[in-house]
Amino acid sequence: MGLEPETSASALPQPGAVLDMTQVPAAQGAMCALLTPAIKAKLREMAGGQVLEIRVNDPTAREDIASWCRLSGHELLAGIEDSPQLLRMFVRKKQG
Amino acid sequence: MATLLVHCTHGREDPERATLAFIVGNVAASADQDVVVLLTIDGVWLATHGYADEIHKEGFPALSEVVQSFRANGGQIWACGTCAKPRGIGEDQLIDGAKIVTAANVVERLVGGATTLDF
Repeated sequence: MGLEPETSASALPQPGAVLDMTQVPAAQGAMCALLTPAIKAKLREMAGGQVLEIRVNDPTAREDIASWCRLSGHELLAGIEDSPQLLRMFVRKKQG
Repeated sequence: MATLLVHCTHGREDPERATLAFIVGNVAASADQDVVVLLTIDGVWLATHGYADEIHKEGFPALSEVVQSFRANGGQIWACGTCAKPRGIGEDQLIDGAKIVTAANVVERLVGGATTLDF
């Protein structure tokens, strides 16, 4: 299965919340151990249909979030690489 | 939905295996999958009060935090009864959400199509 296409930020819905994982110290563990549970926790606070922007600086996060969205049923809208140190992923929370 | 059965046989003597089982389980639970961490042999200690608090492998999140998140995401913790009894572990010593199970409970899940992953 392919990844989401690159999309311009202006074409995206306004995020209802932002999850910034760029400041997580490496000593706290591999990003894959922390990222998707953190997304889940953030989405729990949001309403169905709202969009969460996730900011990461680990390139493996693109595949990680895509796979997690396929599993969980949340919609991956886009991924935007602003710089090698900043990837922004946009996920729409599923209804219900 | 088929169950994911993540099997762990280790406690403090191998903090990396102990933690990784719950990391994988937690990622699955966070994706709304039906997931059980099955603890056998020395892994059953992980289901007891306070035991995981001292396990923090360098480069990994603290195990107690991962277990807490796993539970919050709906993950189940099964402790092998055959392994718990000779170690003096009873239901009253288990953390919230953990339970002692029998071999038949495990076999039933396996026959029902559970996928396993071992640590």
